[in-house]
Amino acid sequence: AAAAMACLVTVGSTKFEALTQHLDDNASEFLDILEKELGTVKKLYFQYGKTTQNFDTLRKLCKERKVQFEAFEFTPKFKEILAASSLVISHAGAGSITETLHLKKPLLVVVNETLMDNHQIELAEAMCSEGYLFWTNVKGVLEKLSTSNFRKLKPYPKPDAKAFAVLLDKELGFVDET
Amino acid sequence: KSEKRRSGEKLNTLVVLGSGGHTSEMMTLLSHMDSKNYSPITYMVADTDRHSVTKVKLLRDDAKTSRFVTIPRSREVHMSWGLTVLMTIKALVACIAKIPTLAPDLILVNGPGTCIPVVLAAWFWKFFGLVQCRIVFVESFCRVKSLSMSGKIAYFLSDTFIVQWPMLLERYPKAKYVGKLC
Repeated sequence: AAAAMACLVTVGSTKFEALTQHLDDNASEFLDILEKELGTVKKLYFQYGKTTQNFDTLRKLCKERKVQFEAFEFTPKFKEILAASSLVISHAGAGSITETLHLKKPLLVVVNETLMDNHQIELAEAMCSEGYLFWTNVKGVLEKLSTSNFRKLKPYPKPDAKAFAVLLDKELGFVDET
Repeated sequence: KSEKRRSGEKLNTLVVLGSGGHTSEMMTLLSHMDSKNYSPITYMVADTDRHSVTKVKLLRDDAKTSRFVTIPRSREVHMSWGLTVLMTIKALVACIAKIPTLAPDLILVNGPGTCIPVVLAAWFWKFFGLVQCRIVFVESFCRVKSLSMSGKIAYFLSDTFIVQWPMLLERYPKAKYVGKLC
């Protein structure tokens, strides 16, 4: 609903101080860009997992701008919050990405470059080249937010894993292969 | 290639669960499988895994009639490779002991480190003809251009190897691709 513009930032169960610190350090610009992108922002959610962050600046500015700010490690209401969000900024975990796209939410993926084996970039890149999301590293978050046209994103067709079951039946001999 | 099943035949299925994303993907895979063909299901988890069993019991109707078995965990995140090898051997020994008693017809795995000792043990018993089972490996949705470590090992040990991105077929031609599954 256009009434309650909400932005959700989610890092799954990971530690992603680089992202949360960057957004807190640039809180003013971040909120400005969100407002430009979403219209009046009423709610800002941070699901921070194992990240250590106090969000001092963001809390202060949100209070000043009358933006409801909520930060939580995890929440049993994640699906509801996700459903109520107008824009999602997520770490590059496959689960977070697919969960967001299944609900057809505009998504900006941020890869964590401090991770050793960063195969997560592969998924973000591939999904971006198919037009389902935008992606960036932490340094480029604000620029990507302000220059990306989220309206151009294609809705993600939720795959039918039935094809797996059909293949499995065939491989295991449950289907006549003549 | 695969033996044709008798009418009404059911396959005793061993499913290996891993942390977080792996379990979620596995639940998706299982949800489309015909329970008439794959039953009973035994779920195998690492002894340090607290969440996977809860997820299964929440999402699966057959959880009440399924068995849950634990094995030692092979690797914790950031564990040194030396310690990883020792832990993997410990897990491998446990699996070698357990697999013949579970006697699975099908082992279904999707990539967590936990699954490698299971796949190795099953392959070990198959090699000596004591166990007849098919090993099916489904690589994770997040693997687009490269396989996970488990995938690289399982590629040689599994009977069916499934990937979710077509680019992987170029480097791994024995793999099968039926589109994205997540």
